Amino acid sequence: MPLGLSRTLAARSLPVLVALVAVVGASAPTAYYVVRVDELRERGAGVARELAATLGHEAARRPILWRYDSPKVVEHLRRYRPEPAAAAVRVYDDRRVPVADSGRAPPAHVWERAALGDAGEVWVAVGLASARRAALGLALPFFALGLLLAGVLWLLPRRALGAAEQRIRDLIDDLRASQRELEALNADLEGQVADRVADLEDRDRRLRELSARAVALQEAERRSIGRELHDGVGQVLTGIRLQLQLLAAREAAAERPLALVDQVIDEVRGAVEVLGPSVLDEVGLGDALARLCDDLGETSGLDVRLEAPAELDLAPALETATYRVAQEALHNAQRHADAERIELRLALGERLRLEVRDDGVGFDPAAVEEGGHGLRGMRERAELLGGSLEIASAPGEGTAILLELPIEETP
Amino acid sequence: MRLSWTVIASGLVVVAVLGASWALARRAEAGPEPPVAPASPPPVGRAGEALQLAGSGSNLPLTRRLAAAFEAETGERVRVHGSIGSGGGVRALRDGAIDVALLSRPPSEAEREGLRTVTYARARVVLAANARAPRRAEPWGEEELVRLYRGEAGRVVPLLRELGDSSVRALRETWPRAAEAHDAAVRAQRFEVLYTDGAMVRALDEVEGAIGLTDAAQLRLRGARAQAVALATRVTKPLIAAARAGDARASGWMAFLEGEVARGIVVEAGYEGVGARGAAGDAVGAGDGADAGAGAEAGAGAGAEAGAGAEAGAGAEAGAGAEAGAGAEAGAGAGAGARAGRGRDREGTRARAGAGARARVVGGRD
Repeated sequence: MPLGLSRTLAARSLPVLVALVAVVGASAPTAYYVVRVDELRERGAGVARELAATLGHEAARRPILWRYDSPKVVEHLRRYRPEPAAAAVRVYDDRRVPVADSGRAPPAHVWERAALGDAGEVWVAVGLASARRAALGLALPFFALGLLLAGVLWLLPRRALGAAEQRIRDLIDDLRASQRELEALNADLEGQVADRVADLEDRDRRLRELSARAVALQEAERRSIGRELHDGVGQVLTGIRLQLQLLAAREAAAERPLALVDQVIDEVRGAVEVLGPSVLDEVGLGDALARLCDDLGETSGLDVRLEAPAELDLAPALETATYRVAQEALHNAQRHADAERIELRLALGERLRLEVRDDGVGFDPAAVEEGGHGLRGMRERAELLGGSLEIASAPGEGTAILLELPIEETP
Repeated sequence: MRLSWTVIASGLVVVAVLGASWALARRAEAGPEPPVAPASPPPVGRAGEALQLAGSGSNLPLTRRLAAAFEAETGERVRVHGSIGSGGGVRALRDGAIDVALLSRPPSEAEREGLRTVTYARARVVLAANARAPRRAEPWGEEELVRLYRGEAGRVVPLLRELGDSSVRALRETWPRAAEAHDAAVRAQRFEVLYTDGAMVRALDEVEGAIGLTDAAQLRLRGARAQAVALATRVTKPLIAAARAGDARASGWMAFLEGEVARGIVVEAGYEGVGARGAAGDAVGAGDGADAGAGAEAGAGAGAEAGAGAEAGAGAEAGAGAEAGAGAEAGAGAGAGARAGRGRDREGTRARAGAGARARVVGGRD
């Protein structure tokens, strides 16, 4: 890449160089011309004085008739005292009438004058053509000299500038090489980072799979334990309670054990509910969500609507997580949103997608991001299964909670 | 943008430098201009109270003799001025500075207008040589003259007259090639040029090897030692007096010139009288060149004495015209070796004789 230093130098130094050429080229011829003109004029003045002396003598001798002989005298003196500077001579008498004229003055001339006492004047035309030719003849070599000096003055810094420019180019080349090396290193580093990221992502994915599997297994185990408690311990307790009811009808002392059994049954039911919503085992996710909506509509008077596929065949962990998130979202909408309408949409594709949207007062998610409204629990459920939870809300604009869960990865 | 500004700056610098140079040159060339001639200049004035005569130097020696006779005959004072040339005489006459102009050539049509002219003599144009030159009996032919003026004549020093001289003008009518060769030599500055008849005669006397055109009678009247060599043809030039038509003051002189006394003086002085043309011509005619040359020589020899007489005449004339008498002859001797251009020195003579050498002779007043 050209740096343009030479062009900058040329642009900046052009007036100086032109001035140098003009001054050198014009000053010497001009000085020569001025000196030469002075010299020619002095010589012309000398001729004028000499003619004036001769003609003055003639005029003194012959005050009237000198003028008629003056052409011969002028021609005579010009022939025997030749002076190239005197291009033409005119003699005027005291009436200012020309009495001798040696010929036309050349185009370039200047006049010199000498008086014939009171008898008249001699005017000598000094030709300047030779001085002009000589000055013009000098102009050419001096302009050439000026050009030479200007060339030297331009070339010297230009060479230094060229060397500096070369060094700068070398530095730039070094910089570019370093940059390329850095880019190569960067690319290598990026590759390493990408590999590491891919590795981490792979590990993360595997971890999430493990996590999801663990959660699924845990959920399945919890559901299994819950069913055992419900079907086994619960049935036993129910049988005990029936026996105690019968006994309490006859013995008052049985009231107390009956109450304890009821308490145990409630605790077992609570434990079963905690371990896993039994409704999922009973009616499946779709109907469980429908019940949730119906129950909420009945108890709160809200307009709660559900859109869900007719057939759902999901892993227990997905069902539980979906159910729990829906349950929590509906609960929050009921308690905090002051909503009139709540919509649940469940869609299945590559991922499970549950959207709970209300037309309530909304809130600032950043203000309640950490742990408020059970949001952390919902997000943790999603992330444990490799999914995500997004909350879109703003004050006065309702709330939308979007749950996405991977289907295939979840066992 | 930056480049355009630099170009503008460069242009301004060039304009400034060249402008300064131009101003300096103009300043060096500054000076006054000659005056413009007035449309109606005042008169020149008369050269003197006496009858004023001036003009060609060829006329002067004879005219002075005639003037002396005229003064003796009429008692009227006459002043014959030094040479101002034929043209100068006509101009002076028209300006009223003189009464009679003396011409050694026919006046032009323009010059003739309003003037009355009298041809009172004819002067025989000859080739004269320095007295120390080898004597030559045979006359010069045209081709020899041409070679002479071309510098091909050997050990002689040709002397020239200025362009338009009356002797050369007369020669041109007969031998135009010789006259052209003479003028070419003048233009080429090949030899010395003399501007008056007196200077020519003095140079012929003093410069060894000198040879040049003059008229035979002048040699006699000026007392020259130079030898006259006839040309192989008859060449004469007229001596003419011109006066303003109807000028009563000059009419007496003009009438005198046409009279017998004047004719006698003319013939006696060695000129051809206008009314007796052929009297002298027979002696030096073209058909008898050898005799003619001898005759001319004899005339020149006699002229030495006659010249002395002329000087006496001029001396007498000094009362009437001191300028004419003193001017010519005194300068010829006293000014030898002096350079031209210094007033009186102009009348001196400086010569460098020798084979092939150029002689420098400075003319004086006739």
